[in-house]
Amino acid sequence: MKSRLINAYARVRADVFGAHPESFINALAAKGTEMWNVMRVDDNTLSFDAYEQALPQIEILAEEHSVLLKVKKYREETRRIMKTRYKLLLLAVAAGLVLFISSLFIWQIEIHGESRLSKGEILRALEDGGVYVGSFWPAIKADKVRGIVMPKLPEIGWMTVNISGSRAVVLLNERQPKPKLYSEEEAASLLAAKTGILRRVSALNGLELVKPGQAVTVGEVLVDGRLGSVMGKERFVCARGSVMADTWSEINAVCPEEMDLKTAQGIVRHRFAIVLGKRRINLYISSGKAIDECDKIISNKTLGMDGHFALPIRFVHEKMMPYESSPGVAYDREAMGRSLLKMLDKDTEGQILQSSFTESYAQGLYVLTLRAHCVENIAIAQKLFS
Amino acid sequence: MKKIKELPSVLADKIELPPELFNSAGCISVSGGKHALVEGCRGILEYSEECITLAMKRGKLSISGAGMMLRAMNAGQIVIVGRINTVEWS
Repeated sequence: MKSRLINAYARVRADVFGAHPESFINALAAKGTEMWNVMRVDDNTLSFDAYEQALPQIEILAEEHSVLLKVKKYREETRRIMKTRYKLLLLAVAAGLVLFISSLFIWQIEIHGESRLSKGEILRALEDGGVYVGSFWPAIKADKVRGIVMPKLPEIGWMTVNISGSRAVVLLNERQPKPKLYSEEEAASLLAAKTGILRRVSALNGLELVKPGQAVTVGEVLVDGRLGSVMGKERFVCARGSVMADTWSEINAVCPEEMDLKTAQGIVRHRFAIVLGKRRINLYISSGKAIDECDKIISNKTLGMDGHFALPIRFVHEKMMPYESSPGVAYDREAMGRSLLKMLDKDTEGQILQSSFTESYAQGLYVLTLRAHCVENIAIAQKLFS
Repeated sequence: MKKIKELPSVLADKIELPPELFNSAGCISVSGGKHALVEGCRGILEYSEECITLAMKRGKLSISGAGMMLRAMNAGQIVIVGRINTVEWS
């Protein structure tokens, strides 16, 4: 087989000597003889490559055109080329085989839909269910995984595992927390959570003790859950409703005036590593310890087609940026202001009508104060009998 | 007679079709100034590393440059490699 192939593809190098060797080349082309690498040797000589099989035809044509033909066979060269082709073919087959086998294993796990649960918790539960990097995906059954993972993580309401190439895509929905239900049996009154001037009192259940325009302080009863009766016994109900009031809030943010700040200093260093499956190969000699006073940024790149297919090869790039600490202004007024407004917004069950900032310095501290005028619901339920 | 010969190319121009469909004069494609494919070639007239002259169905085509070599050739097509400086149709 091998010798037959070599016979079929054996090449010769022919030198043509004559008055006009180009006409011989034209005749060869006209006859359909394959030739390549035509080169000028001297004024009357041209050389070219052709297959050994075409040699009889070339010799006949050479006689017809009265040119001198000098042929050099090089079977060794052909053998070398064939060997290289074999190797390339084997390499391609091996690469295809590796690709096929690796596609039967999971090399990337993507989780979508988590909010309260951390990825680590989900990954650990998935590992118990048989879904981990390097697991054989044809053996994975979504029902089985669900049966193992969901009892471990009761926060999950529904989940499924989709396999795409060598990627496992975990889709989950977290259980919604049950809304707090008011029990009519639990008697409660509505108290003022903040000091303010009432704008509107709307009691759905219970006895209104306050009127719009009245000023109330923290803890004052707004809607009472005790309903007195002239005829019979006192009744207890769960007071419900909303009490809108003008409130004035004051929040402080405190920060040291000066503190050590980072300044980029020195040469940025790069380190690379390759992760094959679960095995990490460091492409650097020094230890894995990071340099002191250095920011380390790690970026990962998994080989494959993003969103379609992943190979068990991951490139890790570590960028280490040294810095120097020097004292400087520590506070950022804008950022502190934004945080204060965010806090106030979170704390207010209504809307902020007006806000203003004041700043002051005391004992090496910077104090930013936010004063705001809001309209909000200040009623909170307080059980009558605990 | 000349008008009849030119009729296919005039027709191709009128109906907006690629001229190579009707034009039998030949076609040359040069890529990167290093590789040229000549179609519609009838043979080699002159061959050297500096200049290759080809006989086309209509006229001659001279390709000049340096280190030029005829990479492959068959009855109608020729592949030339090397540094191509000029292509002259006469």
